[in-house]
Amino acid sequence: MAEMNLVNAINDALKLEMRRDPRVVVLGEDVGRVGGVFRVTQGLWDEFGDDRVVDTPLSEGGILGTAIGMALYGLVPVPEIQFADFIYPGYDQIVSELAKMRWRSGGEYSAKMVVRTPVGGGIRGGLYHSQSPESLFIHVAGLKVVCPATPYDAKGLLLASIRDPDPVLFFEPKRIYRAAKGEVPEGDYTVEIGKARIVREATRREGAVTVIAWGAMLYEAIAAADKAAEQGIECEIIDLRTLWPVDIDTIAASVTKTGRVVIVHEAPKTCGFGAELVALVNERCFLSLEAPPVRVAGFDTPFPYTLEMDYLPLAHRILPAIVETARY
Amino acid sequence: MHAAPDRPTETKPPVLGQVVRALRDDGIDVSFRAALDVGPALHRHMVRARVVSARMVALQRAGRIGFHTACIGAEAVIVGATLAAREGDWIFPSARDWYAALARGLPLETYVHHAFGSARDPAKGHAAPDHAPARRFAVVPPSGVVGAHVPQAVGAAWAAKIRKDPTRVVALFGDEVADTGDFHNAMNFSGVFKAPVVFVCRARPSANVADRAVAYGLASARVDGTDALAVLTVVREALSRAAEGKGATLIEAVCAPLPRAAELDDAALAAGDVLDLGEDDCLVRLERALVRDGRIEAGAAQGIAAEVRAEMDAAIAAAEQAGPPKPETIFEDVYAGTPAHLAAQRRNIGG
Repeated sequence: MAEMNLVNAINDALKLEMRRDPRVVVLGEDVGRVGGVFRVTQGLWDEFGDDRVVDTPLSEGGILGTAIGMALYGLVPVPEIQFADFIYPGYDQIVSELAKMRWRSGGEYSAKMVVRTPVGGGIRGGLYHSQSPESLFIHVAGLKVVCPATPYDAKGLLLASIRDPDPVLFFEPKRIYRAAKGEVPEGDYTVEIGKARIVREATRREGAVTVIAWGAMLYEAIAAADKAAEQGIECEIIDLRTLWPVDIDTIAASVTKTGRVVIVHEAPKTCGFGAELVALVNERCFLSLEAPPVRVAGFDTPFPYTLEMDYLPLAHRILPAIVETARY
Repeated sequence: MHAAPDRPTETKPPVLGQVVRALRDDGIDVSFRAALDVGPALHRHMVRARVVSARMVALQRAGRIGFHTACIGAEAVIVGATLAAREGDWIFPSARDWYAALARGLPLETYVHHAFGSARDPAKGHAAPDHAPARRFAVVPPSGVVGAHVPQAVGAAWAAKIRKDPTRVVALFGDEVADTGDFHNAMNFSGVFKAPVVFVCRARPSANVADRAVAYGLASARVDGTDALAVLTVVREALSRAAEGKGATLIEAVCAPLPRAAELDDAALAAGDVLDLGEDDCLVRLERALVRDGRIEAGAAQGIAAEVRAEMDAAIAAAEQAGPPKPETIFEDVYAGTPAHLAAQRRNIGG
């Protein structure tokens, strides 16, 4: 075991899998000699060379379009999109091609790959370096969407994603790239895609609140839950880890127990993934609910530069939602 | 053909040459005679493509299939380029190049099952007609998005290069693709990575697609798109170049706009009486040259057409008899497995 941050853990997973599987190639803008804008691919080019760690022209549509061709041919590309905000020029290749290749060919072809991209705000990046577009991909049939919050999960989920037969959008919460630290095993292990993690279990049912979060906002949810505990409110905290297919069984078991749920995400509230989670909770847990499900989310505005800490659903906004839900 | 400069920045733009032609009024240009062995196969496939397409237009008009991208008038490009490739080379066609899969060996009956979206459609009724998968023949199913497949062709070629496979890739498309961002991405990435890919663009005479190769450091050629022997020869040369590690070539196959379906007579279509569309018809031109050279007999097309019509009749009957796929096939192949949410929705199908 070694202490790592998210960047180290993802880098470790890439190295490990590239050594294990010669089909795996990394491509993107400055992923080679420079090691990526956040240095996540640092050292890969030195070890694996030009053929497997490729600096591409600056064009997300070109990166993703060619990566799909590589995947069709039998390689396992792991393209990096420098910021999720820049994924839209390649969105058509993801939505119309990557997601549908297996389906439209009746299972003859697939374009298995992992698209890695940093998401989220809180790094003074403004509207083009801060977005959280997960629901745009969850809505597209054929994609899996993963977002780790801890170094352990980042490594295990990335290894699982690269080995998964379906295309995976791997969202990396950039605000905690270096801030999130934890013990990471050396060598090979995977974290199953589609399984949430109960970060903190509520010991009693009465008055407890289920709090669902992922990525960087998990830590805000934990901070808010700590404050709520000071007021005698217990929280059961769920880190989704995989956003799609979502682990609705873990969510439903928790909400059935607590009867109360607060969902936290950075993306704009309207049609954000929280909306789907509320709908699923209503379908599964309606008769157990003691309070209306609540979303604490980004606002329905573009992501602001100066006032980003006001935009983000930080602990100070989550806490009142927990308290109101507990006392409803 | 114009060779790509090794270092484009230091090279003057080449002056693009004339349109390459093999078929001349007085016979076949001597430098294209090597392609003649393939002549009868080209002819057979072009007749077959034409007769099938005419019948498909008629089926679409009758409302028996949803859709057809007719290839009438473009057969020389589609068939010429496809037969230029070796077995093992990959083909990325657009929807209008649907015949590439048949030229590679996809059975006509399978193609018709696909057009009808029958229970025996290899795409399981998921995709509209002319988007058939044919992995067995290394043909990728066309996309519905114009041009989206062209950067993918580059990626496949690039992957072959990384793996040191001898595979080369042919991408087929129309000149409308040259307007898209995907075209730019494909040309740019293929130029940077010297991918072994050949782009074959069906182009109207005014399109000037080949000229763009200069900017990307690619080789290019302009070929008469109604001259199947010339298309085959030029694509073969470009594939050889690709195999030698010299990178991609952009080939502009110039042909007159395809006759619009609306201009074709219903009765002629149904009868498959579309084997002579005038002096500029690629089929007429090839047939005349091959007959003169003693490679086929005069009137050979009629015989082939009769066979194909009978084959089509049987295939259509089989497709209609097969009926639609089972409702639960909607949920197949979304993912490799069946996630819980799809399993739940599958239980609800049909109420």
